[in-house]
Amino acid sequence: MREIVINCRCASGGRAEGEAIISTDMIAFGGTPVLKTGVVEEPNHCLKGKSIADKILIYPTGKGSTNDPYSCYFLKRYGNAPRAIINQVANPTTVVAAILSEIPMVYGCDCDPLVEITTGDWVEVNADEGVIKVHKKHSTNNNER
Amino acid sequence: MRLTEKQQQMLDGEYGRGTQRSIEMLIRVGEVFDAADMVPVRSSHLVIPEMSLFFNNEAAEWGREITRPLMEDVKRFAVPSTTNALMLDLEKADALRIPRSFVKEMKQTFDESKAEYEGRGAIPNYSCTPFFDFFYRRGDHLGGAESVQILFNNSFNGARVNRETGATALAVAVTGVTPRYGLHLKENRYGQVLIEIDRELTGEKLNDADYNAIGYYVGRVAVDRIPVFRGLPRDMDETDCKYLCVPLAVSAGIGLIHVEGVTPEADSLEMAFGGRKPKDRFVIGKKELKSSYERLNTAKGEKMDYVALGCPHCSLNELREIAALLEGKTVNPNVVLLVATSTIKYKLGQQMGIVETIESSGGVVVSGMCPGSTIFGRYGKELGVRTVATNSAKNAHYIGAHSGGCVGTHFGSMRQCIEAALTGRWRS
Repeated sequence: MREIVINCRCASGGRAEGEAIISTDMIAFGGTPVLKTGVVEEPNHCLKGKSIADKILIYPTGKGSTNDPYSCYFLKRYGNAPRAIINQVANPTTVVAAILSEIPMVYGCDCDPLVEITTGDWVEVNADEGVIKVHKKHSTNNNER
Repeated sequence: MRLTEKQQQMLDGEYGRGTQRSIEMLIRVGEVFDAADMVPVRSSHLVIPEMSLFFNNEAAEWGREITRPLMEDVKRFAVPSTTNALMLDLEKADALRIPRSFVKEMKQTFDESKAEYEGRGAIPNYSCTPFFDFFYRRGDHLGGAESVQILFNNSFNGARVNRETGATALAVAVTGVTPRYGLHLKENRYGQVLIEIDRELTGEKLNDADYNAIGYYVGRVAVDRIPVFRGLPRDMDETDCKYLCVPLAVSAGIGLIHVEGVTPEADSLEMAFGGRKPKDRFVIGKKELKSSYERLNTAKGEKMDYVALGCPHCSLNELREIAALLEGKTVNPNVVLLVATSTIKYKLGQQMGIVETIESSGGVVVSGMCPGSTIFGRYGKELGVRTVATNSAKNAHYIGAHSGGCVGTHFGSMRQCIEAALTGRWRS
């Protein structure tokens, strides 16, 4: 199995591993998933119908109101929080949401995580060290490192 | 990040666990945004989740699981801290036709939380418009959540405040500092897009709903870029200012606007843009205004259950205008007319006889209560609300969004809303 190592910055400490789910759309914890189920119900969202619970959630950046940290915490209390968050750009509300819900969160990767990681890959996030390890589900022959 | 001796002591736990947790969180946020240090603030504005956001007991307790650890060992907030509007005015629940079962559950939560926050020195203004009562000048650094006060203080007073979350606003109240990034730095406060108001709009006087409709449209096109308005009347009053800036936070994450000749950092376009060229330019005319009105008018038919005024909370001038429009008339019995203001303006309104005038015509004036998105948006379906009329774009937008489209809205001027409350029919 092909493995990729990505360096990144830490927004919320901790370590987690799990299956990747990629969203090309922005995410608001209050509004994108239904808190009681973890399933995305926001109209026209690219993850509509899919669950973000227990996944390594990768998306461009957060959106939504300044109450978003509470929604994230409720998602966690319902048992539907993602195991870790990887963002291209960190948004203050997402950073606070991750810290308060004790979800590891990284951003500022040395490559584009939305390109390098694919839904279904097994991903280890070590936010404390600022390192992501990606175990590719399907090996492709080109751009091997 | 560079810390002062006192901030280091906070981090080391010498001021107790709550202060330690609070500064830890603020440092982490500051590091992500490359803040060089912490900046002392003049005040914070608190949004207390269990009193402002969530009706049911489970959510209230979960909200407290976040806030209570930040306040552990804290006897007094470090800076004057105002408080945001609450979900309900318990004294007026019957007049608002809110079921008793809802009220009973909330009363205990309110009693406990008011004691916790007011006991630590929080100011019980319970309003999204603290800027009508607490003045901050250009260059003052502030903390606090609630997009209404963030937009108004940044834009019209020239104070500096970031779009903070409820949790960081509390941490700022506890520590008296906030990380120096974003809108605290002058280089991040310059305009990015130019908004030109077409003469076809300003030929006649713009009313309160027009300002809302302009702000709502601009939020959609500017997204997260700081807009600079050209062509608005220089004699805009405080109500016009409020309704122009507030809808901008609805569709995006905007925390600051400039208005040429009106706001303190925009004597000229050059000053507002810091000598740089606008990245984009939009012209707002009748067509753009119409598109806002169409989006915000989602209700079918002429009827409505509630008419909600005071989002954001009414200024004293608005209260006087509403009283003058209602004097000697009677609100239609099929409609609840809700007029919301801060606890401070409510007391003033009582002294001046304004509350009595509005209530003797059948309206309900609420003190320190949010007239919209929580009660009609989040809980509208449970309360059996189908249609609300309002003069606020923010309110109309969130009632639709938070109720998942279950509650329809009529959107128009304050005069239209009062007329609808009297006749029981909405006329566009």
